[in-house]
Amino acid sequence: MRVLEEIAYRALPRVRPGCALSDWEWRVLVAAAEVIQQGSPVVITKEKIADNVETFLIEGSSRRAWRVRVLLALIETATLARTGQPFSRLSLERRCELVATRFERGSTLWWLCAKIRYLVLLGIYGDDAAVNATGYVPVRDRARFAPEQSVRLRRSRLANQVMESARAS
Amino acid sequence: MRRETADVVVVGSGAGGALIAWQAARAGLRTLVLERGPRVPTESISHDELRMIPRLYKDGGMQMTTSLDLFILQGSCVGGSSLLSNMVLLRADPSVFAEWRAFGADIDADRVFSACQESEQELRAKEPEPGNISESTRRFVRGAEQLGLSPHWMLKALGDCVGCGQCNIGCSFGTKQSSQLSHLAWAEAAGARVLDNTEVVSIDQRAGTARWLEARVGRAQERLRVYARVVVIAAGAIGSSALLLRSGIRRNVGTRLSFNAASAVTAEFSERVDGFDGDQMTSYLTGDGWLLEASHNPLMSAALTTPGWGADHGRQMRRTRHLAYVGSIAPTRASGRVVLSPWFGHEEVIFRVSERDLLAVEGGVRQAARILLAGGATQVALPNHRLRVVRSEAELERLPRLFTSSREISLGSAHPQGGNPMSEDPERGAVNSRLRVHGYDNLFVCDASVFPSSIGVNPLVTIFAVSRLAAPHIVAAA
Repeated sequence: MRVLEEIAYRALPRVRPGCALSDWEWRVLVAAAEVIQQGSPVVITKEKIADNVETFLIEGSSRRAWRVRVLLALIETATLARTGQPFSRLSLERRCELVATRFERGSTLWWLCAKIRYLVLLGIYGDDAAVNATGYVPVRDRARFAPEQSVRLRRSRLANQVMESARAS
Repeated sequence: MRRETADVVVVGSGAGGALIAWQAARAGLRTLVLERGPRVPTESISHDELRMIPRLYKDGGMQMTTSLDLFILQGSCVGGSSLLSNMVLLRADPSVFAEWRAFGADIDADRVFSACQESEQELRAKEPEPGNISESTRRFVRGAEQLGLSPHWMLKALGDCVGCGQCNIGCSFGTKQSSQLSHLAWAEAAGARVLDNTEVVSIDQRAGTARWLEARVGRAQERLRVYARVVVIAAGAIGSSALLLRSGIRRNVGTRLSFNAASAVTAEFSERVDGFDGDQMTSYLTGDGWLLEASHNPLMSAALTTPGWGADHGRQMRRTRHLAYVGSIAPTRASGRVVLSPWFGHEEVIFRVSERDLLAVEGGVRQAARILLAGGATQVALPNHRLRVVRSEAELERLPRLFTSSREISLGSAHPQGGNPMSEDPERGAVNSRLRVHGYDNLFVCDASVFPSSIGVNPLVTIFAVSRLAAPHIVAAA
């Protein structure tokens, strides 16, 4: 029995094959990404952030991924009572204000909505564009992995494989 | 429906399961290992966190407690969490085993440590090479020494580690001695078979005997039934309890779940400290109810650890090369439960972070902040979601509490423990000291779920040890 999951799947919009989110949920995610990326050094479109999050969800095929969809629905509808408009229809300024005044310090409902921060951050900093923007040095570009070092690495790998086969035999 | 037979079937291929599989296979027993996750060979491990994390972690890295204030990270792949771990082999304090004895476990520190030593030797554990120690870790060590403290170097089983700092998404260099490359590889060489993408649904049991396992294989969900003389559950804390519960085995199952709750401070230095350049985790310091581990994640995971919203967060990320992270880890009370929720259709973890747990984490956070400031940090960001920064020890001491609720901070655990506690008393424990499930003659549990309480340090070598101690009994039963 998967009561909540089944209810969620019936209540939430249909998802196209190959996607993890419905178009409606994706738009909410884009709207949230636009706010949370403010101040980030990474030059990346809000749509790309949402795409990265969706990639993360698809790769994981998590049994809990439906909760992300519920979270997005919650964010979209949570503003209705307060502003009369869904989250994604609010201006950027209103959304920024809402995040600053509610998501960051609000009650249980807003605290739940604030979980979107993690998803958006992984969408931003999981992107290749984040490397240059932050100064992070990818493994391949580090001094310890320079060509003259690679012989040592290859030897290390080879030694390891030899050790494994010796142990196995 | 496909059918398989074996002398020993092991559910789960992590630290405990792989070791048992190896011991059984080398004793000449027909051994079959069933792993829910995929086999991810070394050559297919990349440094792309966005793809590797969801691929390797249970529930795509999104496992949380029902109160949503504690992330739980576990592996779901061949090799289990060991594939994603730093292979830190820290022994628990002897007082932990005294506590376990008080709970009814017939176990003592000497036997456990002797078994730990075997694993350390077998996996060629050693302290990190100086060249693999990142500058950020050196700052942590220097700061601790400035305060008259004595941090230690970790004993780790990373083989000839090259210091790429990506342990948490698997070792693309094939040096880390994860279970996939050590015990499980040795088990396969001795004749064991490993089926990946195979989820065990339930154990058919009757009159104190586990008769067969029902499993589903691959995306097609092909039905598989496995008959074996002995069944060993090693699906990890949470997973092992869930399988027993699904199979109608309930006595003390799902109880006494605990964690090493962790939260990180983020220090900023005026110079580059390139924490990402080197072994992820090499130094630790123990204190009053907490453990500090200087660690550093690759970029995406580091961004999730870094506190603050918007510009506060962005400003720190812009200075990635100047940041150092230290985790404060504290053992929680064994008050959690694993339940099969009729609402969710799968297992859920019920656990509330207590005031005592929070205070212990805070104690470590304070000490980490002091150390990093003494090590030359210009500021230390506390783990609060809303950025809270201290620039001097005096400023830190003026803060009466850093956080009063788990909701205010990022809290996670890669070390869930318990759920099937070990005790000779069947009224208290789910398994006895030989890790046999009470009331069953051929059903064993070999993973961190048998810990009656949290050990407060990385549990890997203790999992090896308790499994190693149980192995002769399992082999004898088969």
